[in-house]
Amino acid sequence: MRHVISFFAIAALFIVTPCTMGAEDDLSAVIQRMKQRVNKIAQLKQDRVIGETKDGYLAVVNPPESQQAWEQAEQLVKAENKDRKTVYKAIAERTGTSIDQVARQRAFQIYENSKAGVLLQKPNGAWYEKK
Amino acid sequence: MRQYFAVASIAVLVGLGGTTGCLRIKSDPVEVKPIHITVDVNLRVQKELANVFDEIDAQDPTIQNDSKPEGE
Repeated sequence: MRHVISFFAIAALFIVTPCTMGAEDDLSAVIQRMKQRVNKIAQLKQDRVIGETKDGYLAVVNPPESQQAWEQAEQLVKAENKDRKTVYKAIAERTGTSIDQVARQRAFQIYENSKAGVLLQKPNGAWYEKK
Repeated sequence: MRQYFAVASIAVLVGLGGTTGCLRIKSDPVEVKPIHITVDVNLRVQKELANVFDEIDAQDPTIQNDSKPEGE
């Protein structure tokens, strides 16, 4: 009998753990991380290393010469994009739309509000500097 | 025989008359609801995006913060 209870207890743990992991990564924590990242991202944007894609995400456009700086930029972009996707997903769920629709609207906001010099992506995939 | 022919002709005419009466084109009023829904959803998405990104954008020196999204 004990073995049966232990088995179900362990099985429940396996089921519950992934659910609680998702709850931990809530929106306020995501926003906090994005706020902490904003200055580093802005610097890379001003240096024309990264740009804003047509789909509402970041991309490395002109990789730095240093391998270390390149890797750091890649990691930063990856982390930011992951958090942006979490935000887009949450908004899509709240508004009954798709992640892509939300992401495209955000891309449009960025396109409209970015200052001159920021690298933006055209619908055909080409990159240009905002004038 | 003639009687049958007459009856059949009348039946055909009545049938044709009935068909002609059914050929009415019904025009319903133009449905504009989906457009309203799309606009409403877009506004809701913009508002939600603003809720999340307004503070982040305010800290971002590459974003102009004087232009706020519609519905604010």
